Amino acid sequence: MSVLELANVARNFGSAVRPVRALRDVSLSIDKGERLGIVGESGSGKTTLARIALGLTRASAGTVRILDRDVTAHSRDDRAFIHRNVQMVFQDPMSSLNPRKRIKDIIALPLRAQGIGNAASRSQRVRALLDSVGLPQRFLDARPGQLSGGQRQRVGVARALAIEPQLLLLDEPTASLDVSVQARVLELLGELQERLGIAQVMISHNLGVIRHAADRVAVMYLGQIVETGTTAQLYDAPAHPYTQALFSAIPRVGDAKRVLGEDHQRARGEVASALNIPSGCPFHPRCPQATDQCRTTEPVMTDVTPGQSARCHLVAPGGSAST
Amino acid sequence: MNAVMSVDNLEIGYRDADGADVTLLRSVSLSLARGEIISLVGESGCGKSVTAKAILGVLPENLDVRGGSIECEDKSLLDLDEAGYQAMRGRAFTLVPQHPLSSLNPVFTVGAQFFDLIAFQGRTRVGVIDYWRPRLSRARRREIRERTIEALREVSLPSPEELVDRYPLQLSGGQSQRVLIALALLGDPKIVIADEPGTALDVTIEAQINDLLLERVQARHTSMIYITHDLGIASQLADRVYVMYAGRVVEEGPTASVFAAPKHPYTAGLIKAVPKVTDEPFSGIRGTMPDPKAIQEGCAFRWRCPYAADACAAVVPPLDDVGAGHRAACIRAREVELA
Repeated sequence: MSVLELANVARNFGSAVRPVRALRDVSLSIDKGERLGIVGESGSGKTTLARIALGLTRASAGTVRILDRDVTAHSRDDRAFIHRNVQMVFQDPMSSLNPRKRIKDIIALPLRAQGIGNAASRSQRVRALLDSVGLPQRFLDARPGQLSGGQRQRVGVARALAIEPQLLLLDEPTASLDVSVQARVLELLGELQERLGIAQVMISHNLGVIRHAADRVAVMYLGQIVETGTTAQLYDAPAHPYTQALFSAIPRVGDAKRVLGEDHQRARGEVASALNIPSGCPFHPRCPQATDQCRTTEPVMTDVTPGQSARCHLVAPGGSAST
Repeated sequence: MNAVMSVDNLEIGYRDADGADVTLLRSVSLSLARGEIISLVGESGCGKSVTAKAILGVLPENLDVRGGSIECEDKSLLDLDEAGYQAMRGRAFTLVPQHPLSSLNPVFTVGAQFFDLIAFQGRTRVGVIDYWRPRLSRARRREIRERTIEALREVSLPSPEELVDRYPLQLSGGQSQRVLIALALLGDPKIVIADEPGTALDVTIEAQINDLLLERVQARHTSMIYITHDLGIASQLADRVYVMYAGRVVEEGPTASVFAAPKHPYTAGLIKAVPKVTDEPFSGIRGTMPDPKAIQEGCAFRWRCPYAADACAAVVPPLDDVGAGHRAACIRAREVELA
């Protein structure tokens, strides 16, 4: 049974005549206990995807299924069903916790909203949750302002876990944290997944973070998934030129000093507007390997190897775009 | 080695609302040679931005310099008055800021932001007649416009002739950052101070911006102080790195040697904490950076350090030589083999 299943989902914003096409033909599914990483730059549709999975916005086309229930219609019942099963950890732990509430009330809020348990059982659950995210009990009466960034993000995780969701959406949960603290929050997420088996969707632009926080990865560009595969497949042999460009843009500790002009995989220019998506392959204006076909014909998802597929003309089955 | 700038034992602090004394920078020393790129790395609160602000002479009013010196072009910067500083900004040193979208004035076109700089750079006051002189001369206006277009072309902005008349709102983050780099390089500065110029941008754009900075800086033999929390970027850009922690330089040396063989446990921990794109394991550092008020005696990292000994609480470890040009502030640097 898949926890989340999107089939050919699209989402437009704005006028019908000139829509912003935030998501186009997105299909993906997440199984129970699986960890999916979504990588992409700003404007690639990552957040819209998360909002659809969270029931905050509806799909313009396609079907959305959560735990085998079709929630595309986005009725009041559908949304209530989503909220009982899907929870989110937000990017900025400074602004996603109410500064005037105590930690125990923040963590207990989803339980109260869902009408789970009584005051005594909720208080017990909050204590257990604090334990499970590695925070001491003395924080129960503290307010967010007294906590460090890493501690606040742990509170965010505890709040998301309170109702025992089936799916956890993590929107750049470590982007605002320092590296030494980020690593510990990632460790916590990995540990929770092993212990509780909750499916996770991790949205990030940091390929290093995704490598250690996902079993499978989807790379998004201008509202489409352009490549997907297991983490190992994608990191060992990225097939799509955009994925290759992303890897080439990442500086690694211990890299030698850059010699200019030696790297031919850099993406040129900037991301096009979702109001005005380029013809053919949307990546062609930036692609170092674009051909005439790329300018005119939109590529479809093609299998590269079993489990890995890419939306690129240059990808032949069994191989990848040249590197 | 011919230093274009040297910072010597800089101490900066402030008095907080309760009257308690807080020290932010403790004996920070840096040196920068002509054409050299150094990187200040560290996590938030380590003092890297305060150091940059001190050099630029833009420290917040409540902070005061308690000791040390900054030498640049045979001048002692800390002794300069505002006019003296203004004469050096943009020419001796310049800043590429962190947030491109909030660093350009939204009510003026790109061209207008270049105009005053080209006409009056280095001056603190301009009289009415001087203010209008370049504006009333058609030849001077055309000359300034052409120089602006040339500067925009040098940072690889597409169709600079149209861009001059745009407002910052009409530019993307990457384009704004290119405009800011062009502005920074206008006065042909000797030193570029780049304060995390790519963090607000997407990764592919950040890579382009860093390529551009490196290219422009190398083409002019300009020196650069690049501030970042990203050890990978420091690896790719810098000749030498300074690792800062809680207001002190805890390790410094040639980039390759610091990252390949770190001698301070903090540097080693930081390298290990970066999630790699390979399946190499990573792990965080326990605890968080101490409150600057709490640091009195001893090593500021000892509470988080896996190698801390009793002696670490007694003295502030001095920066000692641990290799060629490589120094670390750890009393156990020689006895402990960092994993």
